[in-house]
Amino acid sequence: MWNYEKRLQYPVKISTPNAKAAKVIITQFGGPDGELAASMRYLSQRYTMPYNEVVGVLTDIGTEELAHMEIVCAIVHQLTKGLSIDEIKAAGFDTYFVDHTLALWPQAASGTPFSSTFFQSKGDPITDLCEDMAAEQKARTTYDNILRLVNDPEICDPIRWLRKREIVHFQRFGEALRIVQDKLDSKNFYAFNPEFDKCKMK
Amino acid sequence: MNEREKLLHYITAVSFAIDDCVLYLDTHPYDKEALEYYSVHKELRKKALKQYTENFGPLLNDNVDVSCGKWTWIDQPWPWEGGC
Repeated sequence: MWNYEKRLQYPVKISTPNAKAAKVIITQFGGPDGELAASMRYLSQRYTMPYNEVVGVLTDIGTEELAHMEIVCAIVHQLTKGLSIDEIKAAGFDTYFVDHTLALWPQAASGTPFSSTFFQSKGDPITDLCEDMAAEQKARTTYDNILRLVNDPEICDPIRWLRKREIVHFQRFGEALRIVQDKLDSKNFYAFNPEFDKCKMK
Repeated sequence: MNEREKLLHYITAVSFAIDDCVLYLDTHPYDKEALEYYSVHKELRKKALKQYTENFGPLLNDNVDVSCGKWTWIDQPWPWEGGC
């Protein structure tokens, strides 16, 4: 169950439209390391996770990623609102415009549609948490690259904030992995899979 | 910033303090300092949300005041429009 709160987790107020920036930033909506994939990854993985601390982290970070998706969409929306056809053409935004006008649709900057193949839900806590840690770093690199491509301080401010959250989430998933390892056989973490094998758990 | 924006800015800050603390508590469920931090900010957020709802309208759809005979949930600007 989720409840909607009618505010952004971090404010977005962009006064100058910029379709070129929108073209790259949309990748954090529906791209391979974007917020939608992040949320779906964590919210999918949690059902078979046997440890409460880790289920809590997956649920709460998965929920926060939905709020980040809304921030990214707000950025793209404000960057494209009120654009003229000439501006759309000049920025090369026409290839997106022809399919979606100015609506939001989850895709990578390259135009590749969102796909669940961007993430895994493997049913093994070590595997999944290593993926989650990598995912946070991949998203952080993407935000670093966006900051290399964009200069407008009104865009950079929320992008920097989103980047910082990737680092915090990476830390929390690292702690979750340590919690899992502490509950496994210390001589061989891979002796059994606590999401599947019937075994004694600490 | 007008009064509405100031209060919303405060709600954003105090709510984020809770969001961040919640993640920390998930992996540190016995951390006394974090538990105390959570309790303090939970109360601050509750008070600020009440004040905002009374003065500027609902942020949550389970505390909409319908005494005016109109559904006001849809009145205030949506968050992505740049007003929040």
